[in-house]
Amino acid sequence: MKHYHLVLFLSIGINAFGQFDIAFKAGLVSNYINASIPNQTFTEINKGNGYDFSLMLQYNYKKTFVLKSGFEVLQKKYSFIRNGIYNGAFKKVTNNYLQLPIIFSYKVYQTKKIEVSAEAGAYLGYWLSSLEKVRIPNLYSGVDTISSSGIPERFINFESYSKNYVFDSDKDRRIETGLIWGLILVTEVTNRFHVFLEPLLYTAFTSQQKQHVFGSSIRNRSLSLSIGIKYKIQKLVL
Amino acid sequence: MKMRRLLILMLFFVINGCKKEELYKQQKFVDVFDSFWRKMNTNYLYWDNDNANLDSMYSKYHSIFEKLDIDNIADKKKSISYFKELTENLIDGHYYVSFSPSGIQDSIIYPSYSRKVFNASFHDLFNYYKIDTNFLDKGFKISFDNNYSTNGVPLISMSGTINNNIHYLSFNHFSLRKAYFSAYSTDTKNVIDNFFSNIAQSSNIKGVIIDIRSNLGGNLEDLDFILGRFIDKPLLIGYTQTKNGPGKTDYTPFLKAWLQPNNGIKKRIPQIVVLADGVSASLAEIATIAIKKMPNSIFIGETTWGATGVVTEEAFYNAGSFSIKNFLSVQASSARFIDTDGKSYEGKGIVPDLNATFNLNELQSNYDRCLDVAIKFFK
Repeated sequence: MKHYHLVLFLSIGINAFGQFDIAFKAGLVSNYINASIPNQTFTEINKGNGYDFSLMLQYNYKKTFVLKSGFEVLQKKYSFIRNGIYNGAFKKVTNNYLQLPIIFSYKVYQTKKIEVSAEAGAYLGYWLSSLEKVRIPNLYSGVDTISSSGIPERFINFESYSKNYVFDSDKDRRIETGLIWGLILVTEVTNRFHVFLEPLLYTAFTSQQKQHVFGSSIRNRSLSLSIGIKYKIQKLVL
Repeated sequence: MKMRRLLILMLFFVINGCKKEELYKQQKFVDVFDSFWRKMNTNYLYWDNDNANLDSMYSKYHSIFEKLDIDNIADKKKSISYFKELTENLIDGHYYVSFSPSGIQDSIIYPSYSRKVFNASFHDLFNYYKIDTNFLDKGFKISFDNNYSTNGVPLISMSGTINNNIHYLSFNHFSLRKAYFSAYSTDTKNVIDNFFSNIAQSSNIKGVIIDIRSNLGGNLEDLDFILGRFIDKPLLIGYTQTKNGPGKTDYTPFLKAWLQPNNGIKKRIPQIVVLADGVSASLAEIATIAIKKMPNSIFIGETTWGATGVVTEEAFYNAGSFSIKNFLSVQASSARFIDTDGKSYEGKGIVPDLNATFNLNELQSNYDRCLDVAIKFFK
């Protein structure tokens, strides 16, 4: 009975003030990490490029504000590239996150066909899986030569492997929280369909690693650029 | 003095490391401890074997170090005992801590040595060549190469024949390839060339003895340089593993450890005997394992030291040696080794196929029981 009243209340609210859209988007994610890893010398930390997909439900309020939420999957990649005398060794990490974002949009520019909105929000992420591609020197696999000046040299062979990372609850933090901000450019195709372009910056509050390994902190910062399609569904709801 | 020499020599394994200094500012003793423990987390390799309860140890010793004054000499001395308690059960046979502040500069912590020194079977390094020249036929070669000495102890190598049909080679650490190609170390080259040319010219070989007793390891390249002569295709001798991240157990998969052929002697050796003793360590132990993988081979001697990891420069892998600025330096393994059957010898040593224990009285009477057992083995 209580549930019935709640649904009725929501329907009245929607009927009175707004409309719903459903949106799907896909795009590219450029991720880099703020890292503090004390034993990694001769190492560059590089960004990685992955993909994102999301399905969002939007609630439009008074033609100016939009509140949206849904599910999104982001690949947050990064790599450690050894340099200097260790050139050739690397570790490339692909982390897959399932995220629940809540984003507020505010229209800052609007014509008959185009809308531009500023966006801000927060997200709650779950670290689904992690794949490591690694190339390291194998000390027990080398090639011995004599240099032109007669000095014995040993060149150590590299070996590559990839493995699914096994999470360690003592060390790894699988829940990630952070802020989102960005823009969305929407253009109307038909009355019901709109397409949009959405650059968003995700900044994690939390490190992938707990303070168990103190001194090592890895926080994601991801810039996504997605294109999507939005479908107005207010008549289905009402 | 002998103990000191052993300890210092154990520092010279595989690849000499340049010590990267800790960047963190230290003002209090507890900061030194925190830096040490952070580095232990990131660099120490055997957390899974040692089964250390890191969190409880950290909490306990953090509060102890908070009460110490880094400018107080008595507290500095107390800290040695705390570091010793912390590390006494670590199985890494290479693990060794030295201290730099005045007042404790002579202090060292060497867990594997501390565990062994009170064993009845423990003995120090021994120069067997003084006795073993008596076993060799005329024409043997011996080299004392000061260009490749370690803490005043030269590279000593010796080769020759026994009864004209057993070919013998001994050396006290692995820097043979560097010495062989050095313009200043012709004697080492003569020893090695003598050994392999005798084998090549011999028509009645009974076998070969590789004597690496009291050998503390050295450069990994020597494994292929010497033992690679006895094989004609790569030989899998085990697996190696290091860390690829800052976590305690951020391990890489086990990579295959190969012995690579090196201009093989192209002659069937009926029997290869490796001699090793209780202070044969590091690469000497890997060489022992490698020889045991060859057909018709046997290990005679004593259970080895149990330091089968590899020590590299700190930056080479994400594991191994480290230092805390102006206070201490730690030598530790950067990569571990397991046998092809998955067995680890770290902290345990390799058990001989045929036991021949060290007997100082016999050796002082010019009798080398271990070598005698090996010679009789060929009969």
